[in-house]
Amino acid sequence: FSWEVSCLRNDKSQPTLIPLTPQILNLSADFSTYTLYLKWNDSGSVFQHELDASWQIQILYKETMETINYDSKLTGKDSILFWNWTSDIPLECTSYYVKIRCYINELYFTGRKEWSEWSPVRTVPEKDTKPNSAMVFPQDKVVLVGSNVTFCCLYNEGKSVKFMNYGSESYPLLRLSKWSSAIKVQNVNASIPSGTNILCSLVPDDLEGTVLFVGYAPDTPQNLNCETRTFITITCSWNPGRPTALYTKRQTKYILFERISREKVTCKVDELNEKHHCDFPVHANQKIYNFTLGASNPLGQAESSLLIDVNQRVHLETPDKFTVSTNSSTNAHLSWYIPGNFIKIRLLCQIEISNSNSERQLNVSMAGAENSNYRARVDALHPYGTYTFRVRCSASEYFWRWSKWSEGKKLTTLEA
Amino acid sequence: PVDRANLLSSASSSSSLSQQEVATKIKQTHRLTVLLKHCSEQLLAEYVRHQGEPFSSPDFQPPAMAVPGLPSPSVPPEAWLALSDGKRLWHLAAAYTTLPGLLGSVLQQQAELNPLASELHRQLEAAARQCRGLAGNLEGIMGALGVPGPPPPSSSLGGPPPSAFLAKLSGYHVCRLHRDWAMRSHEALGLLRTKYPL
Repeated sequence: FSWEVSCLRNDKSQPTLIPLTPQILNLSADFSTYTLYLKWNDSGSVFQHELDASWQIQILYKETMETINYDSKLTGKDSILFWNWTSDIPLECTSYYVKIRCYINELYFTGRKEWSEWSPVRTVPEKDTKPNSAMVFPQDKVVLVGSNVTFCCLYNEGKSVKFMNYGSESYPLLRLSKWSSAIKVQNVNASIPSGTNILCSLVPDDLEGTVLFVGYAPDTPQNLNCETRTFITITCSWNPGRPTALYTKRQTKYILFERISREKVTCKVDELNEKHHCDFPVHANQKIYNFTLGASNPLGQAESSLLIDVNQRVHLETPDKFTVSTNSSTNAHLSWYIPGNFIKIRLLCQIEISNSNSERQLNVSMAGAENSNYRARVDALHPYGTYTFRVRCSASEYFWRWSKWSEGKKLTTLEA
Repeated sequence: PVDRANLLSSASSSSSLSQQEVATKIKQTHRLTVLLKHCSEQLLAEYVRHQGEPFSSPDFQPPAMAVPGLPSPSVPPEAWLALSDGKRLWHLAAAYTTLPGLLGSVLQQQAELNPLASELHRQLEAAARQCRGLAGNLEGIMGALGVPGPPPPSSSLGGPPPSAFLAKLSGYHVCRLHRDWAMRSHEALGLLRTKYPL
């Protein structure tokens, strides 16, 4: 069994295993998520076989320090290791200094084992190193109701913070650095549409601020229903569920995805309207539609699904241009128009005939047509009788829903 | 009297309006400033109501903030009264040719921040319309009195504000300046009316 110790300090009295000082390859920051990303080389090729390695990562910020332990496996080859860490305060609030050291837990090594030297420090230079103008962070952040949020106020030399408010409430100031103070707000409530204001009042006379948008992730879309009115488009409608308290560019976005055709539609919804709907094109040779309605906003996402046979979800428009006429004493001719392409199906239309002392309904089945007028004849009327007619229609084979009634039309039959 | 005489002498040479018509125009414009004064107070109240604390608290007095293109009526009352009629009209005209663009920008920002606040949107639109009306009237009076008009306005608040807070704050300052200028225009036209009685 042999291993080559390149970082062995050849101390004659007792061999000591001290790993090479690690080198940080890259330290970057994502301000929107308060996350630092660290990348370094584990120099695994120094050893011929697999070894357990422990790393300590020290993060110095706000005049305090946080040490995090991280374990990895050396594999006999150099590997690039990645690690990230999320701060509880905005990265803009203070500078971050990061260094790293290594410890190798070589079980067969009988001598002493020590931590390597710390790597050179890497810094994410931040705005608190002499900010050029006062600012409050985070800016325009969106968080869930109940979150705990830390806000910091950066200011120039010669200024100091008088107070920091969240909404109308003043909070105790936490000193982060010479140019940076913060407040911690617990369990935030839903904000008004324009967001909750955070104010930083500075001495001598300056005012800075930011806005926090506090809301909910989208609710699962409820009562999802999809039907066609014209066989040209399928209209899906739904209820958005619990309001999210988020609006305009933070509002919930809906995408309607159809699995069979793999087509998706971005829905335009009116946030002021309780009921949402979205149109999807009817495809020539597609009967079954497997819809998934996805809802997403900055705080999360949800979805609902629905599988339909379009022929079984026909909900016709209200019959239009409804006319009645007669040239006899016992029958009447009715005509109406319905938009849409129903060539592939039969329609069932119900005619209501009422007069002062009776009301009856007549069901007539007819072939569907495209953007067409439809006709029917009503018999067995009384001579010189005054009747009111109206009509509604539906798909004949698979009944889904009646259309609305047409307007009523009055007619008097001829004398006998 | 000397001030009015100068204006009249230069007016008669430069416009076809009779003195009666100028006095009528001044009276109409003064009435418009009464409306503007009332509506601008309402607009400021409606605006702060939708921005949340501390905007909506009575003692919210942020430090003045320069609004591009819109001078604040910072001339102290005594100095304002010491100005000539022409100079005062010029200042008013400069403000009221700029305010519609600024109010339009505030409306855009509020449509984004407060999409449900339809009454606020309506008042912002009305305020811009009224400012355009007043600017037109002022232009007519200045033309009749031979007073040169102000430079063309810088139209709006510039690009979208870098943050929601700055959008709220700049909107607040525009609405407050709108109210301050409405009070000043009402005062100035009242003064002019006494000099040009019907």
